[in-house]
This record gives sequence, C-alpha cells and structure tokens, in this order.
Amino acid sequence: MNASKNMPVRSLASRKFKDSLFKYICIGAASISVIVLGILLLSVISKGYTYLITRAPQLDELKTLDWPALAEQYRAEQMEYLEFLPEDERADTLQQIENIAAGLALLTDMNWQPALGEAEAEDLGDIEDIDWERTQSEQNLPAAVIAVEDLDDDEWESLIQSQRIFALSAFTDFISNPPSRNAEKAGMGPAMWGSIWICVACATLALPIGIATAIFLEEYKPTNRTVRWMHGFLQLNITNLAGVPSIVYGIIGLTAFVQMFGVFGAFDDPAFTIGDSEDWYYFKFPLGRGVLAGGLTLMLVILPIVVVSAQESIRAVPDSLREGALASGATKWQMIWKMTLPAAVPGIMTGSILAMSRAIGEAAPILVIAGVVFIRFTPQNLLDDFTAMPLQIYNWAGRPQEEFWRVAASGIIVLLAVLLTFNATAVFIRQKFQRPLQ
Amino acid sequence: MSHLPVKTQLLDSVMDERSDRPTIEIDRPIIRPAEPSPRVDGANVQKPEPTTTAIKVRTLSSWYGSFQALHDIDMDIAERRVTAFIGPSGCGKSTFLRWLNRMNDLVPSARATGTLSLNGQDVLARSVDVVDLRRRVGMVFQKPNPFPKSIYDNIAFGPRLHLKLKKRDLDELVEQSLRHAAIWDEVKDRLKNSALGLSGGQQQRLCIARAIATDPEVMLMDEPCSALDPRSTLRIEELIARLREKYTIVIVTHNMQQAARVSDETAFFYEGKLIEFGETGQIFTTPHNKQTEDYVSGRFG
Repeated sequence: MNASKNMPVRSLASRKFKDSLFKYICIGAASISVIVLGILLLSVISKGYTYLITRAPQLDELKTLDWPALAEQYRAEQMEYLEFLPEDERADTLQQIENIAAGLALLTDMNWQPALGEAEAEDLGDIEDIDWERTQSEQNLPAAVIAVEDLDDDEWESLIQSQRIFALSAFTDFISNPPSRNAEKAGMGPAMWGSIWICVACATLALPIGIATAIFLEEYKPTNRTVRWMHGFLQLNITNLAGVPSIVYGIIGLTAFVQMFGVFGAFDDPAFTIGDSEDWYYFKFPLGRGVLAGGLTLMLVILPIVVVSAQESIRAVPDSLREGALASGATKWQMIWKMTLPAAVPGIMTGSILAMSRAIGEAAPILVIAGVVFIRFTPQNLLDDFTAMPLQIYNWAGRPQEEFWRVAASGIIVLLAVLLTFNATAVFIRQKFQRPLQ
Repeated sequence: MSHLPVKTQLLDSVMDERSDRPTIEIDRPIIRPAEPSPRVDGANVQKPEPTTTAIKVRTLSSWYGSFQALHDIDMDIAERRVTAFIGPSGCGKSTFLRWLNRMNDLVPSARATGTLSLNGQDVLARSVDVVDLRRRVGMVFQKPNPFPKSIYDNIAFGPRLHLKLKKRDLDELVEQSLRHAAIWDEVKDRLKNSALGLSGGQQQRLCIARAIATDPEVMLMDEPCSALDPRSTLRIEELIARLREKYTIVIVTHNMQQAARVSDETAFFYEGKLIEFGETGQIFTTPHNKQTEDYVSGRFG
C-alpha cells in the first residue's frame, strides 16, 4: 500500500532527532558507569596504596630517626623478655642485645648515601597521622642491625634499592600476615585462603550439579503429562530461587549443614568423626562452622544462577545441530556430550564466571555460617574454621581507627585481584573451547 | 551392504584385526561421471532395471496430536533409485520422510500406525534401535547444518560414534566420503579449518559427505537445494545422480524441474494423501490424476 497524499506523515526531522537523542542517552549512561567505576577503583587504590606505603620502611625516615633513643628503647624492650629465658642463655643473649643496641646508636653517624630524591620524600609528606616512630622502631630494626653489623658499601646500596620496591614486600606481607589489632601488622592471609578454600569447594560442587541440572531441564523434556507438570514446577522454582536474598541461604546452610537439623547432636560436639581435627582427611557430622559448610551454602546461593545461565546457553544451541548429530546415529548422550555441550560451553562459562564472582564476594551467608571470628591460621582441612575476605574487610571497615579503613581498602584490592585471577582462568578455558569455532 | 563394495571393503578390513593395513583403492573410479542430460521429457529415462524394494510402506498414517498428517500411505521405494516427493507445503511429504529414520520421535506429539519396513525390518516397531536405524538411513536437511567443528571432524563425527577406528583408517574414510560427495578437491588442503567457513553449496555437500560416512543404505534429503543458488543446486543434482549408483535416495523437493531432472520415480502428495506415484516421466507427462496434472503443470501449488 502506498502512502497517499492525505495520510498523516511522521516528520523525518523528528525521527532523526529521536534517533540521535537516543544515541546520546546511551552514551551518557555508559559514561556514568565508567566514571563511577573509575571513582571506585581510584578511591580503593589510593587508600590501599597509601596504607601499603606506610607499612614499608622509608629511607629518608631512617635518616632522620633519633637512633640513640631507639637503641635505648630496643634495649629496654629486650630486657623485659630476658627474664623468661633459661639462666645459661641469658649471658649470650644479653651480649647480643648490647651489640645490637650499640650498633643502632652508631647509625646516627652513618653516611646515609645515596638518599632518596627530594621528590620522593615530598610524596610521603602527606602522611601525617601515622605513628612513624613506632612503625620504624618495629619494622626497621632488623634492617638497621644488619646494616651495621655486616654490610659493606655495595650491599648497603642494594639494601636501599630493595627498600625502594617497598610496595611489593609490604604487599606480600599483607597477604600472608594474619589479622592483627595493629593496623601496620594486620594482614589477610587466613581470610584470603579461607575465601579460596570455600570458592573451590563451592565451584567443584555447584558447577557439575548446576550444569547437569540444566542438561536435564533442557534436553530431557518429558512427554508424560504428570512428569511434564513436575518438570515445569522445578523450572519455576529454580528461576525464582535465583532472586532469593543470600542471607536466607545462610540460614538454610546454618540449619542444614552446620547443625544438620541436630540429627547428629550439637555442632560443637559431633556425633560422628573420622580422624583428628589436625588431619587433612578430618571429617565429622554435623559439619560445623567449617569450610565445607561454607562451600555448600555458597553452592546454594549460586546454583540457581548457574542452572539458569547454563540452560540459556544450551537452549541457544540450534536444533539443527542436534538433529544433525541424531541423524548421524548419535545416542542422546553422545549428542549432548559431543555436540550440545561443546557448543554451549562458552555461554556456560560466562554464567559460571558471574556466579563465582558473586560467590567470592558474598558476606551475608558466610557471616551466618562462620560468624565474626578471629582466625589466625589458614584452613588445614575441609572442616577447619575459616573466615573470608568480605567478612575481614567488613570487620576492618567497621573499626573507628582511620588506619583500618586503609587496611580495608588494601583488602579490597586483594579481593579484586583474587576475583580477577579466578575470572581470567575461566576466560582462558572459554577461549580454548571457542577456538575451533573460528 | 553389498551395494557399496569399496566402503564395505574398508569397513571389513577395519574390523579384521589381523590385517595390518586395509587395502583401499582410492584412485579407482568409484564415481560414475555425471549424467549427461536432465531427463525432463521422459524419453530420456533409462530403462528401468529390475529393482528390489528397499522400503515397503503399507497403510501408514501419522498424527501430530489430533491432527492427522498422513492418511493410509502405500508405497514401494525401489533400491538404488531416486524417489522424489512433491506436493504443496504441509502435504505431509516431510513428515513421511522423517518417519523413515524416526526423526519424528523428537516431536513428542507425533505417532504413526501402519507398517514401514526397511529391507524387511519394521522401522516403526517399538523394539527397533533408532540409533542403529539412523546409521543405516542417512539424512540431509533443508538448511545446511555443518557442525561447528573442523571439516575433518564433521565427516569423522558419525564414524567415531559407531566405530573404533585407528587414525589412519579414519583418514581414509574421511577422504572416501569427501570424494564420494565430490567436495574432496575443494577442501583437501583445509581439512582442519572450520566447516562454517565453506559456502552454502559446499556446506550442503559436506553434509552429504557426512551422511555417506556412516555407510547408510538409504539417504533421505529434505529439500536439500532450497537454500542454495542455482549453480550449487546443479552440483548437488549432479552429485545425486552419482550417488544413486550406491544408495537408495529419497528426496523431498518443491522444485518440480528438480524432481523431473534427478528422480526415477515421483510421488505426489496432497493434504496428507498419496495422490499418485509412478515413473517420473509418466508423472510429468501423462499423469493419471487430475490433481497431479494441475500441480505439475503449475496450475496450482
């Protein structure tokens, strides 16, 4: 049908205006998200970075310290411990302490060359609210002592160089140290390993179960009316579960995994155990507040996401491929394993990455399972107590001292780094599977 | 399997553990040159050789839910001949075709009554093993559906499902199949490349090669040229003319010239009923039925 003269016409100008308007709205929305992300990263990194700098020994600070006073302080501190030693060791130790103290006092006269440049010294000028003296007395003594006792000029120079890559050594300290009441000593070693443990447990449980469920829901559609109704009911439930708040799963996990409905007695007095709590194969019922209970609870949180996303990607595999495989004489399982799954793996991996990102960042269910605990050691077996990075960060961020806010920011950097490592691995696997398609 | 001497030889020797290396004569002209001319007017039709019936259909009726798609079909499909199904859309010819290898099993509401026997075996019986049936009855679909794998893996897909072949034997089988499908020369240098990079016509011939690779007795083609350009269509038609030496071919087509060119026998379906079935020349020149005449002369449909 041709538009006749008297039909109302949409003006071309207004259509073009809407066209460009919509484009700019989209660009604006994208820019806002980029800016917000930038601000987030900037604030986290600047806070975390300044914290890591303050942990590191600084040369120009070394230069200006009151070394004789520090030597005196050191001697006083060590003397307190001396009385706990056996009689026969006291004399040697006393001699050692005196040597070191004497060496420290000498540091005043050291030729502090080469010193840091002025610019670098200025950078550090902003940080005023840190107890520099205490920091230095605790952290730099060993270096200073070595310097006095053993170093020749070349070695002294290399020591200075190594101090310059302060952030690296401070960072490794931070990710290996246990938490501490002292902001300069606090680290997130146990929290990081706890997170890795529960995420690995969660992934090994949730991904196979979720993908198998998705295969069942998509590829084994029943023909029987009653079974079809149950199939639909299951589908509806899984879709709805994806939206349940994670704290609810935490409560479920507390009942079902930590306490196991009380069937095996109280969780801190297990009725059934294998091995001792030190052994790597230690196992007990009920599971208690251990890694396994955390992993199982996180599995509940992400299972609906894994199932729904895997279903979507299996559904996206064209039926012509399935028919082709079946017409070649494949059994249903051969069709799924050799045709549907390889074609769906990129999509499944994308969904799994999103799900695991959520799992590693979940604080609420872990809070219910593990509680706010002070854990100084990494988990040794599946039932060991644990804490996770989000909990640790939450703990730090909630403290009144500003130092700990910086610690929390550093913790977020570590959390993001671990997350990105997980994701990079998954993306790598995805790319490997996609290669034959190109 | 006697109708396929070369491939049988290959498969037998593969099964035979004692033979170290199968004796395959790749260079032997296993493919007859293309048929010289289309056979439109019936005068050109070859003298029908004495044929045996490959597929015997008696009172086949089929339903999708309560809708009856096929009504009491009786038909004898001859071995090593090309049988074309023509008819307007929705007349049941594809349904019929998909019963021949039980692809209709994928449709939950589909069911059929009557008998449909392939070389004596009842295809519709509940006891029949559809996996083995589909190996014996290859299928080529309307839209080329190469798997998102390499060309080699596409062809090797079927054999790998059924056989435990050494790499060397699999290589031979892939080459044989591609030569049969007249696509070897075009792809021999890029067997490891993705099959999705081929043109539409090449993809369809690849799919035919894939169907050949499982050593079927019957080959079903569901409008194999409807998505292709005329030149690719011509190549597929030439290929069908060669393949009829070894396979029983059933082809569904909307293109009546194509049916006239490639087929020995033609069946005309209308509204789920088999209206007329006979020699292609006779159907197109002297149809017995008025509806057939109207359809083939283009007065409807």
